[in-house]
Amino acid sequence: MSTLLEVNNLCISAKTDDKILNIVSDVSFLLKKGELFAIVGESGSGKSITVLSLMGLLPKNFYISSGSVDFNDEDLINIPVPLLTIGFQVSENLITHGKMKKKDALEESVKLLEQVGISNSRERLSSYPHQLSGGMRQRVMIASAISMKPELLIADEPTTALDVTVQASIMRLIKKLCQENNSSLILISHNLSLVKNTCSSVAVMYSGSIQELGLCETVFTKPIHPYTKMLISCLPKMNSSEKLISIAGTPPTPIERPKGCSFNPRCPKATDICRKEIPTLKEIEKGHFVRCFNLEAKND
Amino acid sequence: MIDPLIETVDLKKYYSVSSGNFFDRKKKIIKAVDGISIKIGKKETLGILGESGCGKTTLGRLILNIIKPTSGKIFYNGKKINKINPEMQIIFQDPYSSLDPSMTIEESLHEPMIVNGIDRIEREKRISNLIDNIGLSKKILSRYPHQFSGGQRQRIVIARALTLNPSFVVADEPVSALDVSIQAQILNLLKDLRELYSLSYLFISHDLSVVKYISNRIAVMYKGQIVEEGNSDNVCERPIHPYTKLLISSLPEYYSQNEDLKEIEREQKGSCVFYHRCPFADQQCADEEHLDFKLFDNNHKVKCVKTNSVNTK
Repeated sequence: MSTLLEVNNLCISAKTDDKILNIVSDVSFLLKKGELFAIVGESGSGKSITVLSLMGLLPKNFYISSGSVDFNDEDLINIPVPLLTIGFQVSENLITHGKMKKKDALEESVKLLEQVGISNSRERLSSYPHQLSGGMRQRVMIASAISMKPELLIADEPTTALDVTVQASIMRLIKKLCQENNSSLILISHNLSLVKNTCSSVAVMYSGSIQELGLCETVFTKPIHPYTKMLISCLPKMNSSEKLISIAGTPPTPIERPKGCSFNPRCPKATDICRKEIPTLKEIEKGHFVRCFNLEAKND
Repeated sequence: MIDPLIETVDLKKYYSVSSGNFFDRKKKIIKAVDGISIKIGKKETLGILGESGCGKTTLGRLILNIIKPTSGKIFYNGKKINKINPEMQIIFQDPYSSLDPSMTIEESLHEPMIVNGIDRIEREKRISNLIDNIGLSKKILSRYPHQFSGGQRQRIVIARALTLNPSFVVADEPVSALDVSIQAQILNLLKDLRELYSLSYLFISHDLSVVKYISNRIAVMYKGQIVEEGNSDNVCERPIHPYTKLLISSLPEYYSQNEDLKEIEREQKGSCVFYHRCPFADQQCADEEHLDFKLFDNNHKVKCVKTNSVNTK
């Protein structure tokens, strides 16, 4: 598979009244054509800001302070490429980006709506959003996002507001469409089991940087970073009723990030070096990257 | 259960909504809670599992008498109740809107006790005990809600719910607004407090694994009715009702196994609330007008006419 997207040492900063804050630091990953990739993290970990920067949609006071983003071997930071995200009405995209006439665009929209499983799609064209259920609205969003047959689909928490039964059908739909169009997917989510069962590889973000990166089967079954390990063990499981291990404390905001490894105040394995220096993302076996000083903890 | 702490008998809450245009008004009845009878024992947690709009929040508020039922009875410790009782408390989903932003934490904790006429010495004694037991330090008392994270606020909200020494607490999606790493802290705290203060919970959530973790028994709700009720392990590991099965197979853990799961939508008939989406429904279901619970081992109750045949599939 050839590389579609390459992010190298991406850093994003934000200007506030009196200082400059590092929001995202040293984010690197590769996305192949047709690959389903996930970024997981808690709120404030920088996952949404990372993908907004890929689309050139950063909020006003945010900027890319260093690093590079290559999409199809073009530098994304300087040349804005119309990547599509969930967020435009279906035919608007076709008219603006596809240079289609309104009538053709509407015909195409009918087909798209059918593709995402909306019945009576011709009548639905004249419906307003409030007349549709949450699951249907998300299907319409997906139809608009795939209308230009994008090479990359970015889905930022696409099912967080939906019920589990609807979530299951939306995720099946996203997966099916990506396979049909050979599109790559970046799925942003805080739901570990959703990611594990949808994507092939995953980046675990904490406090603005990637802590662990690799194939889902490796990261979820043999996690190495203490944060990943604890994140997995603090989820209630269907097949066990053991007491949950909880992570003490709360994730730091960008203002209160600690010196050294950003996870050190909550990490049971933290040592002196963790409190002083920031570890780098090391490749510990092919395709499996971990940002942690205590790599000997690997075998426990 | 010999002496349930909470019992509801055929509890109903109907809302009438008008639709149609100005000249052609139609009255429609929405059955938010439709004939629910449950029992919750002392120190027991009953989990209410359901998707949005199934009536689970309405049920919690009916039991607390925050809203009045259309019909049905609620018993607390064997006595019929029809007004708000300080021994029955609630924890809401959103810890950001549960605390008054203009009050310090200390004021927020004092308020329910002042309303209920508890003297200052007793109030301070209770607060200092509670602060220790919920894992926060006394320093927080002089601060304001905006100085805390979601998880810390939820701890404070829990402490406030416990100031009046309740024996029953409705926890309405108490961890859904929290981050994954914080959820476990709060769930464990709720479990510890249940032992420490001998509490009974009605734990409302849409998240099956969370409900299973904390509950002794689970009741699955759909369209205002309970469709299945039983021990947590039985309901999660040996579900009988097609809706419970659908919920479990919708969990991402089971995605690979449910690829051929068909989505069904048909016109509602008969008295089974799940008829319009049920993959097993047939003429027998459409004709059934008085659907009632069937009993299985271990007090496992299921509202489905086809339970036996569904079960063997």
